Order: sequence, then structure tokens, then C-alpha cells
Amino acid sequence: MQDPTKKLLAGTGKALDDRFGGAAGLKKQMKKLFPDHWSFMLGEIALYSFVVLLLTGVFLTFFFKPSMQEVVYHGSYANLDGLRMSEAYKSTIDLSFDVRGGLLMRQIHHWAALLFVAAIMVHMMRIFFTGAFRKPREVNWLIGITLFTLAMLEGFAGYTLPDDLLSGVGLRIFVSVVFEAIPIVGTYLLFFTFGGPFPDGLQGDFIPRLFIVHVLLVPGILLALIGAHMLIMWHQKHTVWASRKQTNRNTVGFPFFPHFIAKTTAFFMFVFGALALLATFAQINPIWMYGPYNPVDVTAGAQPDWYIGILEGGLRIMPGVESVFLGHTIPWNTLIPALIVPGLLFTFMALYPFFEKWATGDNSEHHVLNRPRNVPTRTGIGVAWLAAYMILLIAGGNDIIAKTFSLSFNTITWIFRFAIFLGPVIAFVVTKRICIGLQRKEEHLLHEGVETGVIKRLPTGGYEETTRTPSPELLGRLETNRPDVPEDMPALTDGRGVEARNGIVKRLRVSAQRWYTQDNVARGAHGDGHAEERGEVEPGAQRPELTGGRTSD
Amino acid sequence: MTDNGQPRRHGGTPTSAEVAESLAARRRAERGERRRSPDAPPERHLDDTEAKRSERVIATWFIVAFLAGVAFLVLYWIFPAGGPINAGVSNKLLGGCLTLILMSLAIGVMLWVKRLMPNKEMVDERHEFRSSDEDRREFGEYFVDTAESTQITKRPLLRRTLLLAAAPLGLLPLWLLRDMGPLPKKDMFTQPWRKGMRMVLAGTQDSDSPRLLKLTDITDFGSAISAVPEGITDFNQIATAALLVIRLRPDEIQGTRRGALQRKASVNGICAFSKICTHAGCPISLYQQRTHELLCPCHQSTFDMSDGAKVVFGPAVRPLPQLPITVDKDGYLVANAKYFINGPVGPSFWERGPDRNTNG
Repeated sequence: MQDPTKKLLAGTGKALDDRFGGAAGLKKQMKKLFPDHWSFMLGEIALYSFVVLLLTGVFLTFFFKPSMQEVVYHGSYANLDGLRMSEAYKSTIDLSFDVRGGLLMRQIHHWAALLFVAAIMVHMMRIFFTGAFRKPREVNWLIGITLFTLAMLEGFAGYTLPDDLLSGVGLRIFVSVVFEAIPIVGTYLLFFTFGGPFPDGLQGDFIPRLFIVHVLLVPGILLALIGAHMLIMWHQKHTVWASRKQTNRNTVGFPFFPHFIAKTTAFFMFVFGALALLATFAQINPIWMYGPYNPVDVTAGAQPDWYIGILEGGLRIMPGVESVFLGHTIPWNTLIPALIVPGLLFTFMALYPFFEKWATGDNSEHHVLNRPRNVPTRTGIGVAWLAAYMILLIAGGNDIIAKTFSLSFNTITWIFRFAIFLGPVIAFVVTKRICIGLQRKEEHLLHEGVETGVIKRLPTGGYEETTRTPSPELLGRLETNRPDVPEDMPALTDGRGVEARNGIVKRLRVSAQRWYTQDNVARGAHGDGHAEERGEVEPGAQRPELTGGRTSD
Repeated sequence: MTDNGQPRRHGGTPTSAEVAESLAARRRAERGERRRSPDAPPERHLDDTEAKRSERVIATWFIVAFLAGVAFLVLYWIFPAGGPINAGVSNKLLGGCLTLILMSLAIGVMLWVKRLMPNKEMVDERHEFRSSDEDRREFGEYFVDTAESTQITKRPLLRRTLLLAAAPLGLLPLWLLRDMGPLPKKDMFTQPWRKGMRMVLAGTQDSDSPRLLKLTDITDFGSAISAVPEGITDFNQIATAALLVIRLRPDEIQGTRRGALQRKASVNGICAFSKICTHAGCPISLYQQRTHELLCPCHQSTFDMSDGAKVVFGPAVRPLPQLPITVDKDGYLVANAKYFINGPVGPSFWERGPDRNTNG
């Protein structure tokens, strides 16, 4: 009566365990709980785009020829007939037009690359705004930043390989603003990388070198880092959203087998399917329309792939400044937007967890996520960063904007030149105010209940609105995740228990700590921030008993 | 505050209920059981007919995936590749099938999870990562003792010579990369134009009959023609030699110092400027006759072509270098010098230094 499938599975399991053991450990891992919340799928999108990139990329390597050897085209695309081009370009045309499924694989590959970088970024936004980078997860945050940076480089390398006119001009810009801009060693880097001058070197070495970087070196590092990222995640377990059932001491969710494994497989199919759908109907990077690269031609209105947009925007809005110093040139107009600004933006994000830990003095383990509104300073910083990023990205399309809206690009460029400084500041202030407003709303909900819109007339002649108690879920969410106020913060001591008040760094740290919490709505406040004015709370009175915040998460 | 108005306790001594729960959790853990989540949605109880129906729905999606898969395999053979039209048709058909396979599988598996798999939300304990003080101490002691037993702490000569041995090894890869390319030497300052060299319309230099530019060819005041030196087809050289030839009326060239230089380097109002943007090296292409402004399509650097290609807007700093030209006895436009005014051409780099009239 033994079911043959069951028998087969049991047999395989037995055979494997006889040889390798491991049933005891795997038994536990199979039961590992995965939380059920949409925001945890963002990282999975990145992971599955990467898998799709590997699968389609392997296919492409079978047909792509990474060679600068010059050939004359006499293939199936008549518009290019008789043109001189590199083998790299020709083989890309051939694999698009003469290999069945070639165009499909190329387009899936390109769409997957765009999605990969986008998903990483949105995933990191989730991590940042919920404070999931806090101890013990700082290492995974650093790996994530590295992955993001490598993904951008990897994407740019892949975009450059076909040696078409669009990517060739992109490479020319990259060479100018990265290699040539770097003081002292820049020109040497250029000559060593290209094996001579741009674009062909002496032997056409660049494309073969870039190929191996794109298909082996960087993917190898990406694979290793993604592996480490996931092992750490598996070991440290997922974070949880604050609620009555989820605390800093438990994990809530569905077991890895069968629930999560089935769901995530379906999700992989979905991501792959969505990419296939795009590749079927949305043409991407039609290199046959751009033609092969040559150093004389350029296409107007050219745009790089989206993740290079911040470099492009910076280059466009940077005013022309360069200095000649002891007979040497420092081109600030390319050095600043291409290397210094992105370098600062990314380094800042990489170091942020350590800054926040230093500023708040909070060195405890966190597994419960913050709601962004409850940490307004962090949320403000994140939105300010995104504002800077978005302004640079949009500035990268200033000619398109000018054309679309019939405006002068000079005006638009000047607007962006101011916006890059003002935008992040405004974004910070506005975000922080919105967060505090949301805190007040919740404080109001907790104390006054939910407004019903029903007005009751009192026997005394007055009017009163009836309220009802919030739902248990809402109440649970409000109660378990409250903003910290200065009184909750750990005392900043110098190690011997003496409060840190002396010295510039220590005083800075004390102000930084206040900066994170002083505007938060105190528990028990009336919810509109005017309790003291009404005399409901004695000015300077002891704040109500600590309930929630630090100790509850 | 909780529902009954009591303040919730967080730090400090646990309540008796919390103690009881934690003890119960430990007992469950010992038995290998877990607690169900308190607010979890009610567990699904599979009704036999309901389950049968779900099975049929899910199986239908799997059959769709199967059929799409078969269609992919068949269509691959029926529709050949070759040329953009065929590739387009093949792409739509194969891509459509692939999408259908993947999406149907995704939907099928998802329905399986939602309708047939147990939906028991569970709770697990989470433990602090920090090891116990005892483990930490033991590990530290073992590590230090063992390290000492290797003598490394006691023998500085060993330590130092080991580090010494590693230092050149670390530099070795840098040395090995040296032969990836030649030293730049003067390459960044050189360009192929020589006095008397004729101009070829860019794009025809590879053909059997390159089109040489004559003075009489350039009659239009609005056009901007790309030109390269005669006999040169190598991209490395063209990348520095590419010119943009424009024609201005003699009175349109401004009376500034730059303008005077520009006029001197031109012939009959025809001026030859480097086509390579001094900002990021893009070939410049958008010329407006009315304003005499030349716009780089990459980052919108704008040059005034009636005033020595001075920068009037955008990120570029330096004017476009100009090649002095003249007309030879046969009427061909030729270079009148072996250098660009305000050269070298292209974007700035560390060794560039101040403008100079580079030769090569």
C-alpha cells in the first residue's frame, strides 16, 4: 500500500543520509520560518533577476565574439550591408537576427539587468527606512552596498560590450570622466586598460578584457557576495514588523518547507515570466539602429541605462571648472560629478549604520523593524539622499525634458543646479515634519480613539464627537512600535559611567542623539503637541512611564 | 497601555503569565513542537470536494504551461531566423510561449500554496547571537594559548621576516599588470594632421573613393561637415583628428582676440574646429547657424563658433581647438599647420597643463 512516490523520496533520502548524514540539521532548517509580508519580496526580485541574468548570459556567450577584429558586414540586415564593424558588433547583430531565440535571450538579459539594479535599490530603501541595517545586520548592509555598486559596473560593462555607437559614446564619456579625470595616474590607467589610446589601443585589447570582467570576474564576486548575503540572512533570520505577536525574541511566519519554497519558486517563475513578457513586446537596446561605433558620429538625445543616470545628470549640471596646478590639469567639471559626488553618496550610505549607532548610543540587537515615521531623522536623511539621487537622475534627461516641454535647457540646467543643493534640505525638513505629524495622529488615535463623525449633543448643550476604540491590530501596531524620546536613549558615558559632556566630539554626540529624538511625540502627549499650552501637562513635568520603544523592540 | 488599562511591562521582572509562557515554550521546544501564532488567521480545513476542485483548477494551469512548452518546441522549428522581420516574428512567438509557460507555472504553484497547502503561521523563539561569557572566555583562552604554543608571540624575528616576505608578494600583481599597455608618453598630445594634408568627408575614408573636400564644396552657411585627414582610417587617430568644418560670413566672426585668431586660421570664412568636445570627449554635432552656437548632444556644452568656439554654456571649460587651414593650388582644403590652436584636442587630463599649440 506504500505510495511509489513516497517510496522513491524516502529511498533517495536514506541513500543520501547514509553517505552524508545531515538529516538532523536539515530537519531543523526545513522548519525555518519565513515572514509573510510583501516588503520581503523586494530582495527576492533582485536575486531572481540575477539568476535570469546568469541563465541568459550563458546563452549569449555561446554566440557573442568579444573581438575588435574589423570585419565587413554582409549579413541578413540589409541596412548595415558593406559597413566596417568590429566582430563584437557583428556577432551581436547575428545573434539577434540569425539565431532563433537569440533576440529573446538578449532582450531578457538587458531587461533583467535593469530590473536587477532597480530591485537592489528598492530593497535597500526598505532596509534603510525600517532600520533593518541595525545591529546585528550591519555586515549584510555593507555587502548590499557593495552589490549595488558592482551591479552598476557590471551593467555598464555589459552595455558596452556590443561596441555599438550608443555604448561607444558612453564608453568615450566614461574614459574621459573616470580615467582622464583622475589626477596623476589617470592617463596611465587609460593606457593600461585599453592597451594603448582610446578606443582601440594597439591591438584592440579592450573588448576581450571587458568581456572577461563582465562574464567571469564581476559575476564571480557577485555570486560569492550574494551567497554570503543569503547565508547571513538565513543565520540571523528575518526581521519582523512590530505587532503584538512579533517581538524582538521571536520569529513569526511560515515554514521553509513546503510553504516558502513553493511560494518563492512561484515568485521566481513570475519574475522570469515578467521579464520574458517585456522581452517579447518591449524592444530594448536595438543596436542595429545605432550602427557600429566610430569616433566621429554621435546620436542626439542619447541616454544611458537608468542606473548610470546619476553620473550623466551630475556631468550635465556641473558648471565648467578646472584648475591648472603646477603645469598639471585637474578637471573638476568631470572629477566632481563622476567620481567625488557618487563616491560620497555611496560611502555615506555604507557608513550610515555606524553613524547612527554612534549618534544614538544604541548598541543593542534589533530584530523588530521601525516604522519610518517613528524615526523621523533617519527617514528624513534617507529621503534627502533619494532626493539628491533623483535630481541627478532627472537632470540626466534635461535635453529630453527641454524638448518635451519646449523649455530652454539652459533654464532647466540652472534649476537643477540650485535643486541639487536645496532639494535634499527641503526633502529632509518636509519628511521630518510629515513623520512627526503622523506620530501625532497616532498618539491622538491612542488617546482619543478613532473618529466616527457622529456628533452627540450633551444635556448641558455642548457637542461632543463619539469615538470608538481602534481595532486590535491597529492598537497592537501603535503600542508595540513607538518613537523614542530623549529620555529613552542610553546615557552617553565615557566608559567609566561619567556622562559625556566635555570635549567637542562628545558634545557633538550628545547633540546628535538629541537630533534623533527631541522632536518625537512623547507618549502620553495629547497628540496635537499643544498639551502644555492647555495646561493639561505641567510644564517640565516628568514624562509618563516608559512603555514601548527601546525595550519592547 | 493595554486593553484593561494596565501599563504594559517591558524591562524588569517578567509577569507570572510571561514566565508560564516561557516555560511552556521551552517544554514545547523539547518536544520539537512550536506554538501557533496567536493572531494567525484560522487554520484551513480542507473540504474534500473543495480540494478536488482546487486540484482541477491548478492542474489546468499546469496543462496550459505544458501546451505552451510544446508550442515553443514546435514553433522553434517552424519559424526560421534570418533578418529583422523573421527575428521579430520568432521573438514574439517564442517569447510569448516562454511567458505563458512561466506565468502559468507561477499561477499554478501559487494557487496550490493558497488552496491546498497548510496555512499554519508559526512562532519560533529567537536567541541572542552573543555566546555565553563562558564560551567566549574559553574560546579566547584556547586561541591565545594555541597561538602562544606556535611560538609566534615569542619570536619577533619569525614574525617580522614573515611580514617582510609577504610585502613584495602583495606588490607582484601590480608589476604583472604593467604590460597591459604602453606608457602614454606623448600620445595624449599628438594628432595626425600635418601641413598640406587634405580633408576627407567623414564616413567616406574607408570607401574606394574617399571624398576630398574642396573650397567650392562648402557653400552653405548653415552646414557643419565632419572631416578626417586623407589616408587615415585608424580609429585611434580619427578619434583625435576629427574636424567639424563650418562656414561663416567674414563679418560674422567677432572682433575679439579669439575672433581675430579664428579668422587668421580660416580661409574664406571656412573654419575647421576639433569635433571632440573638451568636456567629456563626445563628437559634437548640433550646429545652429542663426546663433552660431554649437551644442554637444551629450552634456549640452555650448560653444560660440563666431568667437573662437568660446564656451557659452554647459560643463565644458575650454574652447574647441581650431586647425589652421588654407587652400592648395588645386582648390582642396588643406591643413595649414601641424597643430591645433588651443590644443591638445579632447577632454582634460592630468598631464595636459595650459593650452598650447600642439604639434605631433
